[in-house]
Amino acid sequence: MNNSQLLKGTLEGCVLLVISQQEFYGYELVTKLQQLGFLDLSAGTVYPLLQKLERQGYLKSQLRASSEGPRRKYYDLTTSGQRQIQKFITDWQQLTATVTAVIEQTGGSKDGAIERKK
Amino acid sequence: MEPLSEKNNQLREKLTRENRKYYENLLLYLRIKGKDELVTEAVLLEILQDMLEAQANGRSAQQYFGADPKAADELVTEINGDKQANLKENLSLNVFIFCLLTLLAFTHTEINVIAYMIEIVGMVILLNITLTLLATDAFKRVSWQSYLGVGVAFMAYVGVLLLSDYFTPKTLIYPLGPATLWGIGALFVIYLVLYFKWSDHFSSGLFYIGALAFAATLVHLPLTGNIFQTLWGQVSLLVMLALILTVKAFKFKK
Repeated sequence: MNNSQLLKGTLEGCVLLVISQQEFYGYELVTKLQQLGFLDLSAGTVYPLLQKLERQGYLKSQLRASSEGPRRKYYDLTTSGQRQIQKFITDWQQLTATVTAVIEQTGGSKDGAIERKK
Repeated sequence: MEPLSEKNNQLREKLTRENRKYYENLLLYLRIKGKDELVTEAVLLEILQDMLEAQANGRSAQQYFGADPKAADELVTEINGDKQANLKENLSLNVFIFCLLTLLAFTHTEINVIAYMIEIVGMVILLNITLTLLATDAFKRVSWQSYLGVGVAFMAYVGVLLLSDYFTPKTLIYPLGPATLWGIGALFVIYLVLYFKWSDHFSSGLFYIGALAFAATLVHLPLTGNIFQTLWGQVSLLVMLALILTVKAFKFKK
């Protein structure tokens, strides 16, 4: 699995989690995700994800007037989206537990890995 | 309600030159590849509004959307979902019907079925090549040789158009009476009216119908008929109409 694939699956869950807090439109969401630590994230990654999550029924959207003036497309979580968040959290916890266990059992800190190579 | 594409045209004016260039490449790519016109336009408008906000906050369109052309591909995949036909395919069908009916409507005495089929298929192939080139050009640099190739293909097509009447077998030539021509004309108008009514481009549709009525009048009036009933006259008229149709129909750029 390469970085972008890993990121996409993770990002999907994070998008749902962020939107579960409040409604967002595209720009706000991208900015929020960047503030939360996805520093290299570009909007080009987020829009396809929003389309996909809406098509899957995890998100719903509505055109509403924004504080900036023009009507914007706001995304909100559906009940199905809430269930998906629970699934994401469970999957993520299992994955991190597994990966952590693998790192610990193989002594795989960065320095350790370098030492083994030597 | 104001069509989304109109709103897009107005808002796009607010982008800086550089940002507009970036956005219009994306717009061109999505309009060609997107299968659902309404969804595509909604996504395009959403991105445009966001880009304008990014611009107001000092970020360029590329900084905001990203430099990776794969993002546009992913967006197209998500927009399309399981839709079957995209603009290119829909348009191919429409151009096929359009050419079939136009060529028939312009015919005044007889019809060479084989020559007409070659002309129509040639037009559909050319259209597909052009659209593919435009879509590629949106994100990758297309060599001048490719453009030259398309130019040569267009010229070859005009050549085929001119020669097809002479070099195809004369076995499938049918005479056409005034009643048949009126029938074809009526079918043509009905098709155009319905197509444009359902396709959210009704005002543009009236423009085409007007242009075609003008062309058909040129062909059938005794004064101008002498010129436009010749092969060259009809070819020039058709090429002119095809150009107008292509430029107006897409409205890629304002």
